[in-house]
Amino acid sequence: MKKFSSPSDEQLVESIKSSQIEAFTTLYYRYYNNLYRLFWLRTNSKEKAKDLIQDVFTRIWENRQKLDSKKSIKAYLYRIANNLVIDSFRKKSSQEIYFADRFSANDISTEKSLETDTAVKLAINNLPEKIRIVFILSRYHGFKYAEIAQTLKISIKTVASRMGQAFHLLREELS
Amino acid sequence: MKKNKYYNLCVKAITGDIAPEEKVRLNRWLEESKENQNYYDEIVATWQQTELHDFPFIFDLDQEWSQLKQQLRLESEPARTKLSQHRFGEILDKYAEIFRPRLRPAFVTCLALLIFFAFFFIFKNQSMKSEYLEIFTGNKQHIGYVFSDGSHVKLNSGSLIKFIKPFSDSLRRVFLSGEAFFEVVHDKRPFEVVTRLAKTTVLGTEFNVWTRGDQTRIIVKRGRVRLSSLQTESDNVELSNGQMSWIKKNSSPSLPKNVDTDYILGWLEGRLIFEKTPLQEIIAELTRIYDVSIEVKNSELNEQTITATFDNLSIETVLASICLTLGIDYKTEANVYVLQK
Repeated sequence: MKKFSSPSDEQLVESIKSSQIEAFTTLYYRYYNNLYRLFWLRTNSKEKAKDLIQDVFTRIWENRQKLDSKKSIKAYLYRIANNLVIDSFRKKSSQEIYFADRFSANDISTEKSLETDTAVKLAINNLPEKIRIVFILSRYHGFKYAEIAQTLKISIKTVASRMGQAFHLLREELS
Repeated sequence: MKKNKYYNLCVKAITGDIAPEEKVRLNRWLEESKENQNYYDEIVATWQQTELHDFPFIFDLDQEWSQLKQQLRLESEPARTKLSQHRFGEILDKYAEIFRPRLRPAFVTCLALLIFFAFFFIFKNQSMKSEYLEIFTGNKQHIGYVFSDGSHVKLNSGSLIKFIKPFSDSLRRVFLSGEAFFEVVHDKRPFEVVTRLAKTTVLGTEFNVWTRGDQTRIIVKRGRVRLSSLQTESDNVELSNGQMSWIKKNSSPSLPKNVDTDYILGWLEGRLIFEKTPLQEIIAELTRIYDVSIEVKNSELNEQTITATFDNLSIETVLASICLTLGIDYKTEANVYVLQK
């Protein structure tokens, strides 16, 4: 059997730039669930999350010539993702009524975890936009401050201060 | 200010973003007093509290991927799909050999019937399955939802409802945190809205439930509603058209009071209404409605009350009039509105 070693992000970007579908597939499978996690938390909707992921990868593919393998593709993916979420909220006026999707019973492991998760999700959703994304990336995506700074194009100092504010607000909300 | 600096250092230590020299500084600070140590422990507790247990995960990405591929018109079918189609053909051929040609139509009919019944039962079961649903709104968001019985709810920003879909045969029950307006379709089954403190029972009506902190308020636009405390269920009041009642922690529902419902339910039209509302509560509401950070520098301001109506105004205009009323100023500091004397 042929030994398989997974290509690095940089190698993938190089191959995607030369329109190799195989590499694009690998990138898709590699980052799908990470982005799903982000979109799901931010939109409260699985269908919306799936749609937005397709949008992210559509943009990557359509702009593949402009990709830079020296820059982190992960940061780029998350940046597009965050912009798409903000855009989708902006398009919708707060007065607009629409049908929310729901979380089905299959998502719920136990009653107890449901209770605590609900409170946490609500608290996170109540954080101001700019603070929320910083917190989500750090807490649920394991991003280092430097990665968050790179992704959102803000300074590390700003990341630190927003994280401080996030903890402050969450503690008030959850205590 | 100094405390704030250490606050961010504590967070950095927890997320693993602390530099070695910062760690030395933080440790020195922590050893200074028990208070500092407690401070750190609280931040750790918050970190632990924000753990999420059931993150969704898509195991089978193939369907998603093939959809995207179609959208982008990328060719090259994945090998696996081809293989399975090929195998299926092989299997069919094998079975076809077993049956003599003249029996083949009967076989096909049986197979078709079998498939039909299989689908029938699968879909029948699916439609019967009840789900536990939760819907919540972020800041700046309003959501409308129609329940299985045709009743309608509109959720204000930063609110949440949980319920079983479809409702049971005997009861329609919804848990609420935040604020929501219900239009309940008349039905034999009572419709219950349960909050942390109170239970509201109706048969068919339009009413608003507001619950934040240790208070729940009910406003009835049309129809009749019974409000009871969750601690003492016998303790209840009946409300009818245009009446309001509220429950505070460890107390019975207040006597119904007549109110102008169109005025008081202004949020449905984007109006913000405060009547002798403490600044603290107003700030919390503005944060949800406008999705901004607001800080009050002088804590004694929090208890000051304001009566005002804001009809679809910008956050700056709203803050300016609040400041004018209280004789204070506000400024913007790194995306945070700071209110101070």
